[in-house]
Amino acid sequence: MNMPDCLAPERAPSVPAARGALRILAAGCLSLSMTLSLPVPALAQATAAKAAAANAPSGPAWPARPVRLVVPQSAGGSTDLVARPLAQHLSAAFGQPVMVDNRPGAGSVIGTEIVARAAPDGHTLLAIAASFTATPALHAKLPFDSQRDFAPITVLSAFPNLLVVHPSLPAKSVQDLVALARAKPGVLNYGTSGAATGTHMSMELFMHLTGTRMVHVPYKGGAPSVQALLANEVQVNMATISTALPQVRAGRLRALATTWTRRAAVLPELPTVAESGVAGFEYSSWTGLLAPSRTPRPVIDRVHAEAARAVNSAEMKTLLATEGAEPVGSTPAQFAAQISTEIARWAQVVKAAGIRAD
Amino acid sequence: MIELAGALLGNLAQGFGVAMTPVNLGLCLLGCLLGTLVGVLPGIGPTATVAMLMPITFYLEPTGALIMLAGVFYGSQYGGSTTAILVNLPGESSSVVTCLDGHAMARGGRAGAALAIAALASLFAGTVTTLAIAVGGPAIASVALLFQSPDYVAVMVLGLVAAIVLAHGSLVKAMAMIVLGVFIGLVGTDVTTGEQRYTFGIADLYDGVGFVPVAMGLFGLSEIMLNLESRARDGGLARLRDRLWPSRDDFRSATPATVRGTLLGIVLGILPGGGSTIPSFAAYSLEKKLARDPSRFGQGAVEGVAAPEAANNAGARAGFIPMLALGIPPNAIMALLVGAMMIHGIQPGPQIIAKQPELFWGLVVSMWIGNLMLVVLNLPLIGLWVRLIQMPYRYLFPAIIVFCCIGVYSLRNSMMEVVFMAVAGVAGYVLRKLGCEPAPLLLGLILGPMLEENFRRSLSVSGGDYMIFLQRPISASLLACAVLLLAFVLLPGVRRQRQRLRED
Repeated sequence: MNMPDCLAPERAPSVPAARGALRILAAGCLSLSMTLSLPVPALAQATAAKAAAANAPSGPAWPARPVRLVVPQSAGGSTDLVARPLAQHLSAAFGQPVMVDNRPGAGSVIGTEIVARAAPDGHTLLAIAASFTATPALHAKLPFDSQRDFAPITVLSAFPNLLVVHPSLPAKSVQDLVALARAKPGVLNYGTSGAATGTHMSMELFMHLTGTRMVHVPYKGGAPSVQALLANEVQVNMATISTALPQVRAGRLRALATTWTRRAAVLPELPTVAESGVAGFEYSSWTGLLAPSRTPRPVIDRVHAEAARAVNSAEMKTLLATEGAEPVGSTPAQFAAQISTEIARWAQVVKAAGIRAD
Repeated sequence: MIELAGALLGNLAQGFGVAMTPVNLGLCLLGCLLGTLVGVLPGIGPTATVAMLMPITFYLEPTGALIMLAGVFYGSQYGGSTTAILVNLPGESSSVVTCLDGHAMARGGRAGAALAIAALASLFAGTVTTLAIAVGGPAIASVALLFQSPDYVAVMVLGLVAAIVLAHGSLVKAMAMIVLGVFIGLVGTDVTTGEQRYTFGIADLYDGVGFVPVAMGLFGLSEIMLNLESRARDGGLARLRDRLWPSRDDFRSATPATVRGTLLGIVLGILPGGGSTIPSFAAYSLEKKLARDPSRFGQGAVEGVAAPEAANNAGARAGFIPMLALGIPPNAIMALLVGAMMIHGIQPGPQIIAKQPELFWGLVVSMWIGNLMLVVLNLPLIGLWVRLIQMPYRYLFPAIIVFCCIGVYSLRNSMMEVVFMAVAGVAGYVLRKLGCEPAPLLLGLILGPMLEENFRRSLSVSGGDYMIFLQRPISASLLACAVLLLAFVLLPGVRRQRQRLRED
């Protein structure tokens, strides 16, 4: 690893193409050192800072050093896909590198705990998925308090799940499915991306509200659960839109409804579950940004403003659209309210369904 | 038929048109090079390497980005085999098997031959698999949809039975190691209920004991301890005997093994969760079973390098079939590539071949080009690698340990993984002193949790009816194979055991 060499700007040849290649290499070295958690060479920081010097504010001395954005998922996961472009935007806006630090494991608990214990000085942030609000209901002994230990910043993006069935199932609508499940309780199988994940919780809520009973068959992740649906091992799935949409478009799966309160922009003709007669049903997946609690208010507001601008940029909107997601950028107060509502709702569903994870 | 061939040629021509542009060729080379450099660090396998280098490709256009990532993937996989052969360190699960005979060859002074055989077997497997993808990609992909949980159970059972063949010592010890591996695999979150099992409240154990730290500890660290104990510390690992290049005899025994390994790799590689690990174990077992003199295995048999290397390469590439044709990644590394595609605004799925033929065919052709580049890149490097292990061991082993620690730490950026590796190292030393081999343990660790998951899933789907395993034709026939193989393995074993008793 010869990082300082390939990062040295004075060695850049003047040919533009070569400079592009150099930038690629430099980004590689930077990301490599981030992943390995080695100190980024001072030179790289200087380069990044110089690039963003035009946007640097003259306000308080924050950020004084690189900001760490912890993603409690592995690289390439759905939260990571939002966090990486966001980190690029924030780096440019703050004049300090914002480094994505993947800390996967234990259903996001490991990475989340790291941020809960980090110094609340604005140099550590956390990108999380919607399961954040379900975790407290499922784990009695979490090493952090999901509300007390964090300061919400903003919801970055939101996306619905799709209620999909295997095409051989004689159900063309949500009502058909409910009737079928009522006629044969415990016969239909539904796949999820794992016990106590969002897809599981949303199906529990669905069965709770419709008074139906289907058999839960958990898989290790969304992709295998959709594959099992394609293979007709399970008949029903409330899969994330990014996994299910290509299969629906190819005619291999039948979509019955979206789980949102409104119709999805990518499938405007598809009704919502609530519109289809299941009053009170609503489930959305989202990604959000948190900081450790007691992070200074001005820092929170600044991060919120820049993050909201970033997710609403044309570039990120396009990126989000390919996953069927839409940008949000809600205020810290709105996000805090959403977190406490969801935590209360999942506690109720978990109690009614008798699920637990530890 | 002629029309089909014409269409295929047209598609391949389109693919070459995309892959042979100077930019894409350069990206493929850069990817292979970076992948090899990072992948050669022990413990940093393909998944970690691709994850690390993925952000570089954000700046590129989508086809180039994917070509480069694919190059990184092949390069790192090849790098993993290099460390397995040279210093007995499997950088990833699929190179565990390569350690067995590859390192034995290196210690016998034939590291150059082992590396060359590995490279050429990989090239052959890559070429055949690329053709298979080009000819029947979508059709092959739909085979994966025929497989349901009971069929996976049967595959795993067959795999575990085959694992017994892996052992070259005592049958009882091999079985004990498999069971121990399965037990270690029980640690973590239960997939079906979400309960924690044997985690003792340690969050780092919620996802189970990682495969890589265990493999590196059991193989690499325990090897270092044994070396330090047994040999003069100033000498190198091995003196070079005769020449670098494999002999004609080597080629003669390696060729059929490579062909068999490739076929196994393609078939097993398309199945979800299969990836390249199970094919490499299966190919090794098959070769050992077919060999006239199985006792050579573990002592540096050329087939024991060629077959698993061919199988893991074929398996790794076959994994692209379900990813590209169905939009369903069969393993972690393909999931990463799907993530990379989404970042570039490509929605992987069944329509990708029709909608973005230049991407699909460009990738297929660049797979093959990447393979060729790797061989061209690595054959001249063999001399260098061989010289590296001749350096005094007192300089070599601390460097190996440092790289192991960096590699394992980088998996999850977690110190606990390094601790797991250290524990596994001590355990590996003790086990090897007791004459127990680590390979069956590792296979138990990989297959055990998958077996359990699919077994319980089969029963949830069938409503608790065990007959589901015999009602499905795929699982029934695979289970029958397992029973036959078990009889085949046990009977001579029992006979030999009896004979030994009589002789005593």
